[in-house]
Amino acid sequence: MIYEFRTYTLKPGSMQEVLKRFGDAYPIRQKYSELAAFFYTEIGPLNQILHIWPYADMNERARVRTESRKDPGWPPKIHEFIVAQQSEVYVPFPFSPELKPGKLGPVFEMRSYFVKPGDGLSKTMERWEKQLPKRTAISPLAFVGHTDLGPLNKYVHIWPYPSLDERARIRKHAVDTGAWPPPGGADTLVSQENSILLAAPFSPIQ
Amino acid sequence: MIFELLRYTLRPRVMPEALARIEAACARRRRHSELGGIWTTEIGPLNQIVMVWSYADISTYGRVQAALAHEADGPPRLDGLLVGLQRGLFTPLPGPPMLQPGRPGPIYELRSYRVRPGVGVQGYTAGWEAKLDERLALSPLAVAMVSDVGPLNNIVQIWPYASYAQRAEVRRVATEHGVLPPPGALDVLELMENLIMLPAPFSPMQ
Repeated sequence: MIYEFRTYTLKPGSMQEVLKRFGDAYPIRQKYSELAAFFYTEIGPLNQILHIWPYADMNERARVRTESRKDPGWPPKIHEFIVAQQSEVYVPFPFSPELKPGKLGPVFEMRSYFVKPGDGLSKTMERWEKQLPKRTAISPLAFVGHTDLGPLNKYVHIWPYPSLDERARIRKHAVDTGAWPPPGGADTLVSQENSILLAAPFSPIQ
Repeated sequence: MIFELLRYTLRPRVMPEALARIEAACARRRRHSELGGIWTTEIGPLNQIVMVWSYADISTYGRVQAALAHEADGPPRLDGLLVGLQRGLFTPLPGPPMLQPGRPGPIYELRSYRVRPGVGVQGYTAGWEAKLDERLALSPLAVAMVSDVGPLNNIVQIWPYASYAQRAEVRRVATEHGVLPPPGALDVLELMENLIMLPAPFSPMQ
């Protein structure tokens, strides 16, 4: 399984219109394959949408994208609002949950980390696998995976929360009790950033 | 009035060490000019320290920098911890007295906008001024400023909130009442981002 993360930066003020047009066109695209999630940024780089598309593999991705683009109703007519586009392909860590439809949020934190080339990712996966059950006993993880295409030596993890205040409380509790983060880290991490995402009305994950 | 915005990017997992060193140097440093606030990033680019220093005018800024360069014990030693350093000088946008010591936080949102080159920040300032009183009736402002030296056409605002819930509520009400975005802002803004930061224990703004 792979996940394509497509991040589009939009002109300020155009978000509502883009969400409407994307949502209206989505039933056409759905005939070919379904979204895992569709988010927009609340804190971080603003005016960004992130659509996450699951595929069995790169061949399926190519086939679906070629077919869907032959449909006159796809892609949505949002080009006039797009400032920049980025596509990344992620491979889930072996122990990552699947991004399945459901009510998880409504607030999502996406944390993006760069690690050292070489054994940065393998060390990270080892430590995560050991530590994660302690962390998920406190609150669930939605996804963790590393890039296969795009900026390399990068991984992202997505954490749903009922609210931002609850997020702060949960994270403090996880740190105070030693449940999180996994020990080590200083020797593998290069840089870290996070953003807060909200789900569009038509996102299968809410 | 001139504001100096300093952003230190640290290696992951060294924040407590860096803050301790900065705190030790701060008492001495504050004899030269006023520290508005010092924060660490919580959502956005992580492992960053954000500081705002204020000066009566640009010649005071120059004098202070010259004096600091000659100080025997100089700035805090962050070698081995620091991976990036960004400095910008800003002038205030119209508004109330800024960077007043107190406890309006502890959640601080920093919003950074780039105005389209050529249109001038006046394109933003007029709308900002028109809605300022209504906006300030909803929640206080820590500082609002526009870049003078550094990346140009950059507007930076820091808004304190008691909680994430208060932030969401204030922004919802402001948007519903047409206070946000300020009139004309969307025509001149090119890039928008925000981040959440928390005050360091020794920050004058808490």
